Amino acid sequence: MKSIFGSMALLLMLGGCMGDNAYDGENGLIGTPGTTVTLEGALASISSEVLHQDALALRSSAETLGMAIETAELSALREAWRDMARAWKRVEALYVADDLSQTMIDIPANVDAFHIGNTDLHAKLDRIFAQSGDLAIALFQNNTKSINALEYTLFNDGNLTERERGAAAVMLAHLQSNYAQIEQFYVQNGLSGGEEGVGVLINQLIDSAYKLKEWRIGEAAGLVVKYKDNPDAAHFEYAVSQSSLLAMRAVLEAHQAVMSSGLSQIAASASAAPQAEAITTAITGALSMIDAFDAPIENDATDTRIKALYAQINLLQTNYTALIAALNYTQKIIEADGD
Amino acid sequence: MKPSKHLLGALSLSAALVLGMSACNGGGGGDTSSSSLSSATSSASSSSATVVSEADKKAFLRGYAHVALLSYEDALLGAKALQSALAAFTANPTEVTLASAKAAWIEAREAYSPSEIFRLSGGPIDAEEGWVAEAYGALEGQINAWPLDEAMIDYTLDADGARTAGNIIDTAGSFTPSGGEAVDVSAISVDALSALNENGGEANVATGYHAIEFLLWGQDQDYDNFVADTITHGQTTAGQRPLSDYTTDANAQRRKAYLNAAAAKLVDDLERVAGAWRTTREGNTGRYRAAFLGELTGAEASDNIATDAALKAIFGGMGVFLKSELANERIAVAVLTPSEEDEHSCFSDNTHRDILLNFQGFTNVMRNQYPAGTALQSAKPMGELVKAFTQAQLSDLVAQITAHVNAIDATAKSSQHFDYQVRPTEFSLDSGVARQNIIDAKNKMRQLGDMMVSVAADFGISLSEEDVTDAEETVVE
Repeated sequence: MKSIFGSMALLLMLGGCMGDNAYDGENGLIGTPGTTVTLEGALASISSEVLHQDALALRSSAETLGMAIETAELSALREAWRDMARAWKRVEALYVADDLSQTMIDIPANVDAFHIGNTDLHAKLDRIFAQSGDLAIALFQNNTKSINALEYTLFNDGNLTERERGAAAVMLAHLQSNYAQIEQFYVQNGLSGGEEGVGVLINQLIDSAYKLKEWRIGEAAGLVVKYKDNPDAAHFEYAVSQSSLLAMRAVLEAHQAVMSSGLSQIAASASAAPQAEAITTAITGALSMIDAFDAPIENDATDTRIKALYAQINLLQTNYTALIAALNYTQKIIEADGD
Repeated sequence: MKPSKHLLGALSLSAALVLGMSACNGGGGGDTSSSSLSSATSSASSSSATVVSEADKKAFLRGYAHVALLSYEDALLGAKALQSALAAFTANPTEVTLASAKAAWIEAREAYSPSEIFRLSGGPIDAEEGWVAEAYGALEGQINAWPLDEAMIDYTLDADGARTAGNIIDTAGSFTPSGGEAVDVSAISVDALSALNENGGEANVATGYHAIEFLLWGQDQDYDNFVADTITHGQTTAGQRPLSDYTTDANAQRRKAYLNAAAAKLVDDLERVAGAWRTTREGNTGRYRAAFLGELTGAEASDNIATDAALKAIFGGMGVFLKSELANERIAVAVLTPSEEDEHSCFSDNTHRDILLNFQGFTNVMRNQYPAGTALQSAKPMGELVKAFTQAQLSDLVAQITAHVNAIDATAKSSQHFDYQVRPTEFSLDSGVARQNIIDAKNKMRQLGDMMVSVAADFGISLSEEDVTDAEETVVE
């Protein structure tokens, strides 16, 4: 665990509520009159209803793609990949497993090669596709079996050769193995430890907001120091498949799910309802901005709406910071990468 | 590996909160407008009072300085023995003298590797600014630069199986490193190699242990696919440079000159670093040690390093070395990518020893011992000065890591070198057991690196997780 917390219990006492007493999966924690729901219970709900359900959905989406990978038309595979990418972005956005267990630290990098390293992955894959040897050996490196590698395989041109289809199967098997580990982990483990669990969750949300803002929007639009005034659509996360907006939406929807599944209630219970509401409003606003794009964001990295979206995610990050302050956390913000 | 999360919250609530949520309305909305904070009671946060006395701090620094001196003196002796072996080999290149030269290189590494714990602490090995840098030249990059672009030094077989050319060995006249400035290599000399080292980029390594290693062993890696392993075959096979490179090959004389120049430079550089820690004073000899212990006088007194500043630098350096350098750069990148190119001694397949001995450097300081297993009486060990809770955690973690690095070492000696141990599970010789052992080792080393924050706290020194983490550490692909 990265944070050190006190050991006291935080109780959510739910009293006087009317009807609709159980957690409903969308709108949050609701108690029956006189029912006491502990903070542990709230965290458990987030774990089971969001973290685990998202992991299950990811596993399921990969199975769907797996059933099609041998024979389906390229268009169907592409659609199935998009569904899987959407599911992965939700899981990745809320990935707290690495804070809960050392054994889970390396999983995301096994799955996702975005913003990692300097290797020209596309050139590496082109080389492998042009060879004739055993695909399993050729694809020995994790990044060549990542979701980004699979994206390139399915979207790099209008065709899918037999070798590329075979490569896609190898990549998917690798991804499925990692997805299964995540899903199994969340069966056995979840957020707990009261305040420590809340800290882990909020830290992850802030981390996710930061990377959404800086990596997934700012860098491509030339809004960060690293690529200042040098917009380049190729830097969007899923530039090859033009699915970057899909990824952004999935990240925000994951945040929305956590807020509505218990975090807003936890915040409200600690007199931080305004801060939680500001977060929810910022998420809704960002989603609306994404919906306003009627063409792939990769078509124009200089679109002025991208700058507005960047600012909106910055607001979201700021609002999480305000939530921590309201919860009486001591925070240390590390704006990495020189951005 | 996951990049560090960018914001860390440390909850300082010291209260038990009983939250009453009432008057919720229907529809699952959970109206929280009337929720309230109903009580708060205090709970003590742990105190981080210093448990180490000023006298013990000073004694610890004295012990650290002593272990550093013994370590570098041994490294120097090893380098001199290597220099002699290389001289013998180049004077009379035979399979026997080549084997002796290789053995001397391995012995030299045995001596040098434990000293790496003294890096990253503002000390004479790698301080990059101030009087320490001016006096000692930040020579780590000359002594132990890694990873290196070996194709800059001599021929290799590239990913297509073609022999590369245009390197220092086969260039008569002026050689321009990639991205660097031209250097006259008509004669391969200490000055020429020094000018070439890291000229144009960190991978442009021309000097130090690993340049010599490459010239002795040659390429081991299949650049196209290390799992295919088509260059040197087998799980216990290192680089196989032919003796003819030093006998009948057209560039044999240049290779000999290279080895001798690189060895001379290594000895000179280590002499300078070891001198910094000596107890005698003459010029810069002994100057750093004196400053480190606050013993400089007169005009030099302003260079003295305050006790707490020295401790902070030491603990931070030990943490960064363990966590970001050893665990991440030297282990995680190799095992998680996976990549043979990123194993530390990739030509000689001596990486298992690098790892074990680097870690031994940590335990040498922790236990105030040198050589390993031989306790020094100069001070109470760091591991005994900290609080009982820290001691227990430290001992437990060190024991676990020791078991892991011993297993890496034993496996490399008996059945598969490090470059086979890091293979993906589906291509491993043991269903991924060795690979998982390496992953566990690096995870625990990272934990131990973070633990230096607690160690420092027990000494009354404030460190954060960021202080024991290199902000630029490689994120594994």
